Amino acid sequence: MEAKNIQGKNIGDIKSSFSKATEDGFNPTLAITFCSIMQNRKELAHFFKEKDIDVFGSTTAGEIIDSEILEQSIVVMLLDIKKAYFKLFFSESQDTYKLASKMAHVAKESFANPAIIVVSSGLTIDAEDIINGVHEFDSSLPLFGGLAGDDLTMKASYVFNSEDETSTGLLALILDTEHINISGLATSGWDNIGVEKTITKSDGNIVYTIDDEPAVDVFVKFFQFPESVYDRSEIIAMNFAQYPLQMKKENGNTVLRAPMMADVENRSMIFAGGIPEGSKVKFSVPPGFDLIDKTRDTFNVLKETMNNPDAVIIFSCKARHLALGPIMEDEAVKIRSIWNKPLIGLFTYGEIGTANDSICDFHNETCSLVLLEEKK
Amino acid sequence: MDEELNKLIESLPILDEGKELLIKKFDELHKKNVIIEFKYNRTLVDKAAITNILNASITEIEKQKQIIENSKNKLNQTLTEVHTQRNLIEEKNKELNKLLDDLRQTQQQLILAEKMASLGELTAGIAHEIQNPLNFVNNFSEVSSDLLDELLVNINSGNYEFVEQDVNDIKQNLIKIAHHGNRADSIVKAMLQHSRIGTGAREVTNINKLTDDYLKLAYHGFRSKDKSFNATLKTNYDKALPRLNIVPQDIGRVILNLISNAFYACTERSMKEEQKTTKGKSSETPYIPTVSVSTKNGSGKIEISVLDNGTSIPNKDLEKIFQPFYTTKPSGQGTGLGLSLSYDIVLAHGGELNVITKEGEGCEFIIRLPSA
Repeated sequence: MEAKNIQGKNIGDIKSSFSKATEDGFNPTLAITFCSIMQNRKELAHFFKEKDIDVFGSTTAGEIIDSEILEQSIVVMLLDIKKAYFKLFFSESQDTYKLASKMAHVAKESFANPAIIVVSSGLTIDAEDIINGVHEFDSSLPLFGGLAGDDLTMKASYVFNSEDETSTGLLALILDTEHINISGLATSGWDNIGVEKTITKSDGNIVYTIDDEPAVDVFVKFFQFPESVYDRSEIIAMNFAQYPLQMKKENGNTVLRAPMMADVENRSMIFAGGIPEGSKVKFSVPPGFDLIDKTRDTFNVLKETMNNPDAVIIFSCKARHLALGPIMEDEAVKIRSIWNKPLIGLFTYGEIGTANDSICDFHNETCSLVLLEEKK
Repeated sequence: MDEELNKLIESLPILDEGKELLIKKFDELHKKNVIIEFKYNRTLVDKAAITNILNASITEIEKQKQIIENSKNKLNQTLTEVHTQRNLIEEKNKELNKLLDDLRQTQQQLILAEKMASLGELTAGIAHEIQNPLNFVNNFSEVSSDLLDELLVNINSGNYEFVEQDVNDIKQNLIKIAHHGNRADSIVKAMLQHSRIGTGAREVTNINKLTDDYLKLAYHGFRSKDKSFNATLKTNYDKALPRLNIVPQDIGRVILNLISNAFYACTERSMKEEQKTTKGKSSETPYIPTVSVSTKNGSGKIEISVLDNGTSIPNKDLEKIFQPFYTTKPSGQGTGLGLSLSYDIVLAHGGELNVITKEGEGCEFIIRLPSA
């Protein structure tokens, strides 16, 4: 299986890059497409459909391609994977849990040993439901992915294939692990700080009170945020996202939950993942600037399981981008240097993956990496 | 890159390659500068956030510390209270133990008193019983003395035909004296036995005789205390009764106790009837105090029944009558241990003691002893 990356500021760039990439007779069947909400997704999908190429697409909060970090662009990884080795699942519903369960069913019907890479749209969905829906059906099903972004406008994110798109649904790339090896790891680097606090009122991913104090007030107090911007949720996300709550889950995993939006009406905060009432949480602060070396070292371990992947996909939290700013590009450089293979990624609003010494979970503030390799 | 800087480099009197290199270097430096600026700003922001979180945490910890300190104080206070309470309880406990000891002693004394009381009842009966044989002994001694005088006269006057008659009469008298002497002896022995209640050994005993003996003792005992007492005694002993291996003085004591109680109940009733008569409310048939004592050979069990027509026991009190220290007698007259001890004695013999009461008609106590 060969992978070729193309990128562009607009659809025209993509069209010309595509021609160049296929000059040598390269015949892709799948286009992993990550693009800004500003880009014309319909035209993009139509372009690939005409060429009988399936699209696994998601909007972003920034794009990653090889060693570059882009914004408001389009990045595409073209793969000449046999159509028999994969299947795309696309479905739209408000009920994420049912949707995820259905996705797992389809995966099991398609292949005896499937693996799922999933992207989800919807800004206020509780992505925990994706994990729960899949695991309730089969807890051993390999699952990776992330939540689509919308350039931090906090209006709507989308996932799309060559036919359709949705702002409340799932798109899954189901792979047959009899033919395609898949491996992955998620890493964060955030450190908790301060005393434990209790979530005194919450519903799914909406937190109303922390230690009986309105959630927004707690954040504003701690991070000295002017009250005048209460109603500008995108600013809240941009400023608070790098200060997630660290939560110890019932399954033993420790996960981070990044605040995404504030509700001025009831002074609640919407997080990029569920925080059950009664949870014990601590604030977290971004890691030091040596994080990128740590990230590389963590992923380096994966070389033992897969030394020569055909393609590398990255789901990286937008909050990491905010916390690391211009150094983020260094991280991409260092990750790519591990395998020196085509790398594509996006900045997400949440990641699905497996951290060291834990089971698959929904994360924030992580970089979740997926490796693909066709069996020889 | 800065426009001005760009123009400045363009205007420099150097080769184009130099300019390119310069611009490249400036670009690199600019990028580095951006990174340093970013790091600086983020460090500032993080510092503020960390300071706030830590300050809030310190406040929280101080608050928790205060709460813990308060709890500690409260706990210490509670601990002191608990300690005081414990001391109090220990003191009370000591007092209670002493009271218990006193109570046990009193109980012992009461049991002794009850024994003495029943002995008193017995003594009176026994005295009466001994009086009879003594009368016989005295009378026959006198008669014998007279007969001896007569004998001497007959010998001296040569009336030998009467001598044999006299000797025979004297011999008969002596036999009677010996008989009554023996009777007195056995009564005294019985009394001595009674005073050793609880230490007696089992003996094969004729229940009918035992019952009858104690009925008499009880009757005379009661009469000695109350001369006016009179009652119709009815006995009905089952002749086919087998002998039983029992401690006779113990069972005797139970019988004595039950019969004495029956007499007491009859006396009480008599007094009430008299009061009614004086008030002109007497019933048509006059009240005749009656105590019936009977024995019966039941299936595997011997029954001794004491039935009276005295003041019956109210049904509500039935549960309590076998409890120690329960008595209906005026204070000082009963120990309240009679029925309780009786119950224990019968139980120790593997039997049972039951009571049937009919309000206004009287009551019946039945001792049931295993016949095998």
